[in-house]
This record gives sequence, structure tokens and C-alpha cells, in this order.
Amino acid sequence: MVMNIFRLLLHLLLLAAPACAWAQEGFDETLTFPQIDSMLKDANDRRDVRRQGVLWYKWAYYELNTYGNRSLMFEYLTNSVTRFSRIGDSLAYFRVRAELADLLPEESSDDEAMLIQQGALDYFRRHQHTQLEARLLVSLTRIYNLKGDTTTASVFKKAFRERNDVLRDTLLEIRFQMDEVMRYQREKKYKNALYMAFRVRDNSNSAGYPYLATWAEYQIGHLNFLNGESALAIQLLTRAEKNDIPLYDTLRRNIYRDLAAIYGKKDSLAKAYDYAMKYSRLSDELLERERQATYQRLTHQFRVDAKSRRLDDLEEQKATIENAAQQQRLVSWALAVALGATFLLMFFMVRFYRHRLHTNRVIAEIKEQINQQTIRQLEDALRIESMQSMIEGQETERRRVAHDLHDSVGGLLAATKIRLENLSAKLPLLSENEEFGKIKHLLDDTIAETRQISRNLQPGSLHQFGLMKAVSDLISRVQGAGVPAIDFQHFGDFSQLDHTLALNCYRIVQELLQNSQKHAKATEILVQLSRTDSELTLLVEDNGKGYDPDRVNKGMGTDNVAQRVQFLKGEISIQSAEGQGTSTMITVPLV
Amino acid sequence: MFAEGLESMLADEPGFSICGLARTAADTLKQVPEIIPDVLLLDINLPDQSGLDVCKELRASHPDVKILALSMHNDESFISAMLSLGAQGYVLKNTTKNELSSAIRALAAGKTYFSQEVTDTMMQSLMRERKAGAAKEPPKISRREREVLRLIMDELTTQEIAGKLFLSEKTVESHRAALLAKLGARNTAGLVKAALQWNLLND
Repeated sequence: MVMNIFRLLLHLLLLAAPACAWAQEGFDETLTFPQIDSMLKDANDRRDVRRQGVLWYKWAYYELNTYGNRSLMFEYLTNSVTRFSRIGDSLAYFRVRAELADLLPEESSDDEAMLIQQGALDYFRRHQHTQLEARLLVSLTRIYNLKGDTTTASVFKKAFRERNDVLRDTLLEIRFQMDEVMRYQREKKYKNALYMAFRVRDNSNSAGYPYLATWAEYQIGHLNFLNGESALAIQLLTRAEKNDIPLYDTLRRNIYRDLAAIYGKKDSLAKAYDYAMKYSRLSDELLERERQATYQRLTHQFRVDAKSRRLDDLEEQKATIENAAQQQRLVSWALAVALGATFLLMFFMVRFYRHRLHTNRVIAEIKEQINQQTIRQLEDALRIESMQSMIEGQETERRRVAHDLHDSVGGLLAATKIRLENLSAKLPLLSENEEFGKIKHLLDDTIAETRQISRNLQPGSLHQFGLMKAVSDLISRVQGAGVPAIDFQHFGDFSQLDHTLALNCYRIVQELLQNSQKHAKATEILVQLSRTDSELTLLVEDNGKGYDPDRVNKGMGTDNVAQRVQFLKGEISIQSAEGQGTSTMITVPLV
Repeated sequence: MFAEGLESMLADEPGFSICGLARTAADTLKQVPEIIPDVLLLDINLPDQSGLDVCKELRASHPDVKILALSMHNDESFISAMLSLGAQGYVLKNTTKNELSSAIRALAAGKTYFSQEVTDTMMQSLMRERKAGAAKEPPKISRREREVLRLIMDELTTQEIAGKLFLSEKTVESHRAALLAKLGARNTAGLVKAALQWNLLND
């Protein structure tokens, strides 16, 4: 307890000392807690490690001075040391470390504290920081004395004397003497202790350290009490009681305790009780104060916590806002995407629709074309059919007429002629009659004409002997006296042709021959029939006048030919030019 | 009616006796084996069947019966058909009494008889055939065939010729076949040879 008070005072002393001789950057600043707090935060933000070390150091002493909290002080000094170590500020490092070591004897072991302080001492010596060295020597002397190693302690003590002879640092001297007071007291050398206490008091008064003087006065009183000088002790302690300095209460409490004890021994029970009560009250007060301090610290910490929590809250709010913003962004994004998708969809739909429209139009067009084509085909088929029935009807009619002409009229004419012959044979006069001769001639002509007409209407040989023979007969008839010269060539077998096909081919040749003969006035005609497995080719060429096929005269019978070719699903190709003759080729597919 | 006319025309002809009269092919084929006439006047146009068929059948069954074709047809095809089927004569229906009796007598005597017009038709036909058959003359080829021949000689393929002349390949092939037949060639080399031989391209 006594040690604690002593140390507390010691540190107060060091803190309050005008330590210009060992001043170091930042160490001698006087700062309030909010300043420290904000500056530390600032240093943390700026990653100014040295400044962090200084501020942790400041905070450590703030804790000690304000609340006497040694454990927090220890912790904060440790923080400070760590910072200085990190940046390699050896001076600051050893200094703070040495001060930290002062706290060690109670926190861990003396040995460790000694090792630390000796390390620091070596450093201070090497770098000739005499002030700090001297300070450490005081500390080391004390520690070794406490440990019981008086030999080593006296070495340090001697070293300190040497240093301070040069330095003449009063404060250090007082501090050293205070240590001596405590040492003598421990060794129960009360006279020596008393002597030293008087020196402390005198030195403190002259150097202007009232608290230290007060401390010395208390020690004098206390030492007298221990030494059995009760009356003197009472006198001194009562005087010391009246001193009024900050943080004196702990001392005062001790005074009350001492006085209570002294009065108790002297059987002055009333006074003893009075001081005991005072002691108790002050203890309570101190306890309360400590509690208050703790509470305040807690409150402060809580406030910090609350602040940080508020910060957290703010952070959270910010996060929430950001979240909301993000969500909004997300929603916007989603909306944009959805909108984009919609547009895209619409675009594709429109395209699809257009495509559909186009396709539909194309389909419609194709359908229309197909319809047109179908209609045309149907029309063609109908035309062909009607043409076929027409042609067939025509042929049937022709056959019937031909037959009637040939058989009935022809027969009748032949019979008439026979009877006329019979008559002329019976009446020789009649055959000499000129008019009768004319009648016979007329009858002959009629018979020939009828036969011709009949044959033209129905080529009898076609049915009997096929296309080739029929065409051959036709050419024989057309050729007559040898003009025009008709060359007839045929390749292939024409015997197995369909009768309708053969008849139409025959009619075509007949028509073309007639054209060459009558219209073109050709003198040479080539008629050629050729048949392969799949088609029949008719060719009629002449050396006649020729004509422009594009301005063909319908009256020339080519229309008839074209109709028949269409009916036969064949193709017609006409090569002709004015004065160049005509070549008409017809190709008919054979099914 | 014509038959009756003939009957009256020939009835009083000395040496002639009309031993039968048939109006249809079937009737003819029925009566001929019963009567076995010397000469049968046969029309080609019969109501039920062709006279050609009757001729053919009778020639096989009764080769001794002479057949005189009596027809309105003056076509080479009918004439040569009747002749090839065994008819010994061919007279057109606008014949005279004299011609007809001469024809019958000729046939009865084992000769043949053709009326003047029939003879003319046959002659024409023969001449045309002889003309076609005469190898000395250059064969008549069409202008289209000449174009094809020219392109064949230019060593164009059927497909190329078709493309050039705007014709189907089949048509070009048929032209080529016609050329081969006309020029008596067996292949393209033969065509070229014949074309050069007869100078066909310079026409």
C-alpha cells in the first residue's frame, strides 16, 4: 500500500517535472483526453506510428493521473513501446520501456524489470542520454534494494551519485532520497529514514514541490509513530492532515489511520474513534471515488462504445441506404434489363411479324401464282380436252362424212357411171352424142373430186397402214406431176403409234405441206419423220418464200398446226425468213 | 347399189356369168367356197371388214380364185397392200365398162390388170423409192441436220450442240440418228467422212 502511494507520487513527480533536459518530441505535451483520443484516431488514420506511440504514452499517464489505473497504464505503455519498437525509435523505445519496467515488479517479476531497465541503461549510456541514465539508475537502485541485492544496488547508487554530481538534478535527487526513506523504513532504520525524510522535505520545499514536501511531512510523522514517538507523531501528522493538495486523499487517509492507531494506543479512545471514523469515511470516499472513476471510465468506454455503435449504426444506416440504393440500382437495372428485353422482344416480334407478313405475302403470291398456274393448267387441260373432243369430234365427223362420201355418194356416183356406161353400150348413138360425152366427163370429175375430198377428210391408209404409209400416200398425191419435188425421209418404226397421235401428226404434215405448196410456192420440200423411244419428230422444210414467224398469218393454217401441237403436248420450232424458205420442226413426246 | 350397177353392166357381156353377189365381207367369204368363181371383184371398203382381210383369207384358202380389187382408193399403200396379199388386178371405181371387162378377161386368162391411174401411182412411188435408194446422189439433209452436222464436225458434244441451237438433247440426238441413217454412217467418224465426201456443209 505504502509502495503504491509512493510510486503514484513518484510518477506524478516525473510527469509534472519540467523535464526539459530530457525532452523528447511530443512527450512533454499536456493533453486532455478528447485531444488524445482524436489525435490517436488521426494518427491511426494517417498511420503515423511514432505519433501513435507518443499518444499511447500520453493516454497511459492520463489513466494513471485521472484514475490511478495502473493496469491500463501498463497496457497503454505496452502499446506505446510496441509502436516505437516498430519504427525503430530506440530512444523513445528504451525510455518508455524503462518506465514500463517500473510497473513490472507488481505485474510480473523484478528480474524481468531489471533486465529491461539494464538494457535501457546500456542504450542511454552508449548514446549518452545522461539524464535518462541517471533516472534509470535511481530506479535500478530501488529495484535491487527491494530485491535485497544491496551490493548491486550500491553500485547503481554510486553511479547515480556520479552522474548527478554532474547533472545536479534536484528532482532526481529528491526521488533518490525518497527511495532511501522507503529503504530505511523497510530496514526499520527509522532514524536514518527520518533523516532522509527531513532532507526530502527541505529539498522539496526549496525546489518548489509541495506535494513531495507533504509526502515527506507525512513520512516524518509516520516514522515517529513507528519509532514510538507518539506525541511528536500526533503533532506532525495533525499538521500534515491540514495540507490541501490534489490527490492527497490517499495520504490523508493514511494519516487518519496512523492517528487513530496512535490515539488508540494512548487510550484516547474518543480521538481514536474520531480518526477511525474519518479514516473509514475517507476510505469509503476513496472507494466511492474509485468506483466513480471506474463508472466514469465505463461510461466513457460505453460512450465510446455507443459512439462506435452509433457509428456502426450509421455505418449500418449507410449500408442500408447503400443497400437500398443498390437495391434501387438493382431494381433500375432489372427494370432496364426488363425494358431492354421487352424492346428486344418487341423488336423480334415486330421482325417476326414483318417476316410473317412478308412470308405470308410471299406465300400468298406463290399461292396466287400456283392458283394462276393451276388455273392456266386447268384452262390448258380444259382447252386441250375441248380441243381433243373438238378434234375427235371433227375427226369422227370427217370420218363419217368421208365414209358417206366414199361409200354412199361415191358408190352412187360409181353406180350412176356404170349405168351410164351400160346405157351408152346399149345405145351406140348416145355415146356419139357430144352432150352425153360431157355428162360422162362431169361424172368422172365428180367421182374423182368426191374421192379426193373423202381421202382428205379421212386418210384411209392411216388406219390401215399407219402414219408412215399415210404420209407417203399424202406426198404421192401432193406431188402429182413431180412439182414440187418432195423428199420424204423416215427413221424408225411408226406402226405402233396411237391413232389419235398418228392422225394429228398426219394432219400437221398435211397442213405444213399445203402451206409450203400453196403459200410458199416452194419447188422443193423435205418431209422427215423420225421416231425414237421417247419422241416423234416431224420436219417439213421448203425452199419457198419464207415468212417472219413472229408475224405469222393465222390464215396460213399455222394456228391449226399450233393447236394440234399443243394438244399433243409437243413443241414447235419454226425457222424462217423472207426468201429463206421455212423449216418447221415439231417434237411430240411419246407416252 | 354399185354392185347392182355392175351386175347390169356386166350381165350382157359375152362369156360372163355373174354367179354371186355379196354385200359384206362375211357374205363374200361364205359364198366364194360354195361358188368358186373364176374372178372375184373385191372392194376394199366393206361394211363389216376390210377387203384386204378378205383378200388375204381367200388367197390362202382358194388360190385359184382370181381377185380384182375394185376400189375408190388410188393410194399406193392400198394398191401395194392388195397386190402383196395376192390380188391380180386393181381397178378404180370410176372405171369404164370396157376397162372393167378387159380387166376381168385378163385376170381370167391368168394375167394381171391395173387401171391407168393405178399404174401411174405405182410408177410414181417406184420412182421415188428408186430415187431415195440411189446412192450416187447426195442424201438430202435438212437445214437443221446440217447445223447439227457442222457442230458435230466442230467436235461439239450433244450437250453443247443442244445449248448452242436451243434444242433439247433428245432432239439433237434424233438429228444425229437421222444423219447416221441418211449418210449410212455408223459413228461420228463416218458422219464426218460422208459430210466431206458429199460436200454437205457447203450447200
